[in-house]
Amino acid sequence: MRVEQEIDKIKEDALKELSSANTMDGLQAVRMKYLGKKGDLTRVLRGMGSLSPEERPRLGQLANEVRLLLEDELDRRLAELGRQEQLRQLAGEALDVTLPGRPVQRGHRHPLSTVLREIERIFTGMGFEVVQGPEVEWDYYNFEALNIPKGHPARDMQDSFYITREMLLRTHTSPMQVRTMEQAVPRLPVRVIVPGKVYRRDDDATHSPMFHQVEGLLVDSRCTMGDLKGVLLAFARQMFGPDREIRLRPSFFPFTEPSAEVDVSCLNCGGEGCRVCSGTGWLEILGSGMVHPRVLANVGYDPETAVGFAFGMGVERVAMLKYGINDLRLFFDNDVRFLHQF
Amino acid sequence: MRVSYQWLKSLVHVDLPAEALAEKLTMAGLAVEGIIEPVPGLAGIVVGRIIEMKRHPDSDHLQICRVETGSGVAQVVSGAPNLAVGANAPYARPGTTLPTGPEVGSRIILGEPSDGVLCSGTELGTEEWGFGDALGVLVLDQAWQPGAGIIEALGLDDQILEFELTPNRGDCLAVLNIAREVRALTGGELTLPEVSVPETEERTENLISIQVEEPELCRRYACRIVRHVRLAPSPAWLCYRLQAAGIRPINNVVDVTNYVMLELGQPLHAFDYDRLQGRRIIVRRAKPGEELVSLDGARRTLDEEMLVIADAREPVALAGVMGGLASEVAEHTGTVLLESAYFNPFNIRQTAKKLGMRTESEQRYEKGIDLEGAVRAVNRAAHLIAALGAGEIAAGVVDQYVRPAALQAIRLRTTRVNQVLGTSLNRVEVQEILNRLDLVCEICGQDSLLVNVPSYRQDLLEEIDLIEEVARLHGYDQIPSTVPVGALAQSGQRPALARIREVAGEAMREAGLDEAITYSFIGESDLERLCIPGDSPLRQVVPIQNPLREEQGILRPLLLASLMGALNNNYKRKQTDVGLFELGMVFRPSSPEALPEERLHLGFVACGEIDRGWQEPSQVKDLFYAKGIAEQLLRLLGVADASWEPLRDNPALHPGRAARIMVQGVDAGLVGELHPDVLQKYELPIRAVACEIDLTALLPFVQLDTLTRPLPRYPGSSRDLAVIVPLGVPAGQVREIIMAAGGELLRECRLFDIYQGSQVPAGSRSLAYSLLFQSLEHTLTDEEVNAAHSRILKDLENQVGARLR
Repeated sequence: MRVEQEIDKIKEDALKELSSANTMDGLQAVRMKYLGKKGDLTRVLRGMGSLSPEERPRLGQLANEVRLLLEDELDRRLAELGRQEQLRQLAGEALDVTLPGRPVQRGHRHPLSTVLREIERIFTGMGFEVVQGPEVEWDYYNFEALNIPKGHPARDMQDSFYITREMLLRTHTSPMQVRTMEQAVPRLPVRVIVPGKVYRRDDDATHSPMFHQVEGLLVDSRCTMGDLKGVLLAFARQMFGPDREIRLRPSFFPFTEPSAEVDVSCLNCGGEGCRVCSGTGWLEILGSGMVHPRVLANVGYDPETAVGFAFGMGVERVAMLKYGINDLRLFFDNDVRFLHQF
Repeated sequence: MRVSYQWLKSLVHVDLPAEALAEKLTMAGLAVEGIIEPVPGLAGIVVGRIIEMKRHPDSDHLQICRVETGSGVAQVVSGAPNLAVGANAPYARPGTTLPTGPEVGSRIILGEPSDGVLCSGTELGTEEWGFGDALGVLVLDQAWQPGAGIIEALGLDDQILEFELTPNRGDCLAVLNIAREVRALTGGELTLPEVSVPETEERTENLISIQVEEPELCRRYACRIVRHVRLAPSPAWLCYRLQAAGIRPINNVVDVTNYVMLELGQPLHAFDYDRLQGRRIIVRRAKPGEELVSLDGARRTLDEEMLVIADAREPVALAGVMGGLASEVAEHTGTVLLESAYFNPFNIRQTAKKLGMRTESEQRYEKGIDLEGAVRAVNRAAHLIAALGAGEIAAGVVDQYVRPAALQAIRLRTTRVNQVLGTSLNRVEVQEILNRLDLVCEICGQDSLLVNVPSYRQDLLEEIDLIEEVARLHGYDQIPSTVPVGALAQSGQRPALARIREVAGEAMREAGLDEAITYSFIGESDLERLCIPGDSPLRQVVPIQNPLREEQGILRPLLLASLMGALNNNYKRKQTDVGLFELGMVFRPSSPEALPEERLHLGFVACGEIDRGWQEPSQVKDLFYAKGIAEQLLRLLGVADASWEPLRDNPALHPGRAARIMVQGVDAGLVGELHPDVLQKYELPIRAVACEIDLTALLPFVQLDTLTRPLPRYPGSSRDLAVIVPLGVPAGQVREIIMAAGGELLRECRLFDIYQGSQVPAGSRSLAYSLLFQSLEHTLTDEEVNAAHSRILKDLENQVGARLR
């Protein structure tokens, strides 16, 4: 009975000390005191040999149970103290989360560059290739080959910057129609878009001497004005939203016939009529038409077997509509307070 | 072109509201840009009749009128001098706002109540339309009953359609031809203007002889003579229609010529016949240096390219553009010669451009008028002059028709119509559409029509022109939306430069730079500001012949000039920490027979500090900031082997803080801090950095497609190496020696410290590198690493006098 009582006492004392120890070191001391090599319980277990064979299994089992109990309790207390210690440490590391974070500096894309990329994405998705051409052009490509001979009144629509008598800053991206077809003929189809800078001798609130256009050209053995409508409708919906409608109005360009101005239903009012669309419900976004047979013939296609459409849009115009920009000059002023909005 | 809707309605039966007609016309290619009321704000003002009038007891000029207003009788006190019992005058009730601004009220004038006002033409804003003046009330026709609207009483119940015509539709610079379009769209009946002429016995041909010396420039010259001219102001309806079109009335004869020009599109000119020497008209080229004082009073010096109308002695008009002052129709004029001619469009346009004269007449000639319409127009004018009692018409037209029109007949295939438009019209439908436009068709086989084009439609020359007519009258909205069939584009590849452009832009934005777009033209002064010397290749520029201003006179040879301008603009607006980049073309002249060379450049400029937040101090943007960005760009482009050479002699850059970027012997650009002199010229009181890279030059070295290398399977071994080297030895050279000596085993060499000060001898500095040795084949032994390390040290000692620290 003495041994039994001794084990009980060890259990009681050890449990009490484990619960009162509140440092890691304190817990380790308790472990040493009872469970260490020279610890009380270890000593009892070692003394089992002197017990009678009848008592030995029972007391041995009892002592082992107490050892397991104490070890469990020790682990539990260790974990508990560890958690407390971590909490204290974390509390000490607390920061003022309302302070601003470390700045990540990233530059901004120019809105025209964003719109150009979007236009390119839409048309490459429809199987158009992106090609680029020279900004300084021959009069031949800019005008003559596009059915605008010298002295044609249509030249007044596009007042030009001349480099020499025969060389000028291109007034539109349309010369690339001719260059592209010259390269391709007699191969079909031709499906390209031409993004780029163009120049006209105009500078006021609504005209900039330099601006951007995207030209589109599709020539194939079968191609109709209905296809032109379909492609532009797909463009308008991807660019301006799935609810957009388009409208073609007859117009005149010397290098397309029939020609059309293309309107998109107003982004602001959806077609009801508002201030943005001057009450018409429509916003003009681009010019287009069927490639004039004489232009096709100029580059060596037979207009009887090759038909095509072309269109050209002002990138600034699209960006102004898309972002609600009302002053053209902001695009070339490069004020970072403007650029940072994109 | 501005057209009174009333006038249009007199030529074609149409009862649509102006807005609805405008929409129809716009959708058929005659864009109506606006609809104007002649005098807005007249609604609510009515005809009032003065039924009683007595003198105001306390005034010597005011009258007390009792005015029948149609809805009762009002008492109005007025000081107008032309009041009379029984007269009709515009009456505005209290509460009405007059078109010219003031609100009408009920007042007591010297003790007498006055409700509303009787208005003058000035108050109503109708004076400029020829109705009334400031001197008294506007007296209205007796026929109008009190209470009738003033708009109707003045015949101002009209709207003016403002057309924005395309250059191919010169024919629609005539109200009659617009009426034809209206008929084609609505089916309303056309009323052709009356052209019958009451003639006297006298024969025109006995009064004038016409000699056309330049048949190519003047294909037709027709004229009539008007005797016993009685000049007077034109009647109100005529003045109104001219004014609605934006033409100022002058006198009945001149007004009739303008009226017929607007109506039929044929410019007419009236000469004072008695001022024509020798009773002759000669159509000839001007002689060099010949002069003419035109109607606007300006003395014009002419050249041989210009066509003139001359009498026996000298030019009396600039053909098709403007008449001469000396033969102007004026008070003393007794006999008038009416000219109705056809001049060459190209020639007229050249003359007008050369002299800077844009006239109504010239605008019509340059777009090509109806060659067949000359006689009808001069008859129409004669008819109106006679009808207005402005003169008597001599018998017959003298008509020199030297190059008659060849009438067009064009074959149109229905299958072609559908092939181009994507429609499925049949021949009957196509014919019906064309008939609406007075295009007479003959059936020509199963599929085709032979279409006769009227002489006034000079824009219809070939089949595609007719297809357009079918399309616009059928309605663009009737064309179905379809998806193109057939193969996709050949390659789908983007051009290499476009891909480089994308990567470069990405690199710049990731470095915190904002994208700028500046004009491609700059001025010579911008090159001055950048201190670019006169003998620099950058001074070889492409000049623009006709720049808008001198500061935009040349195509830019580099991007930095415009980028510095943008930096300066931002700084002036108190934006002090700015970084801008641009991707754009620069231009260099090549041979005179070739287009200038265009090269894609990347430029960036930056000033101020990099914000590192509140934890770390901000960093000034210096050479190494800019170089770091340039290095990252080259890495992303896959350009290996770039070297950085000190650039001491570029006047734009700091002589000690600038480098030229060389890639395998090719000059790819420069990077550096700007020279203080340049900063001063751009009014920047702080440091700024700049970089310009020629991407076109880099193109052969760019490697955008990644090929992976196997990951090392054996551990590497790190060593630090600190060496003391003389100050004059560039770090780049030290690195090159290390890399060469380290050989294949040296995988990384990173500079982590530079020290200069008391711990090392004067005139030298310590450079500390962290080296990583690694082999792909085996784990390196200490001996191997030590051997490489000593080799490096030995080479450094031998080549640049370095020693281990």
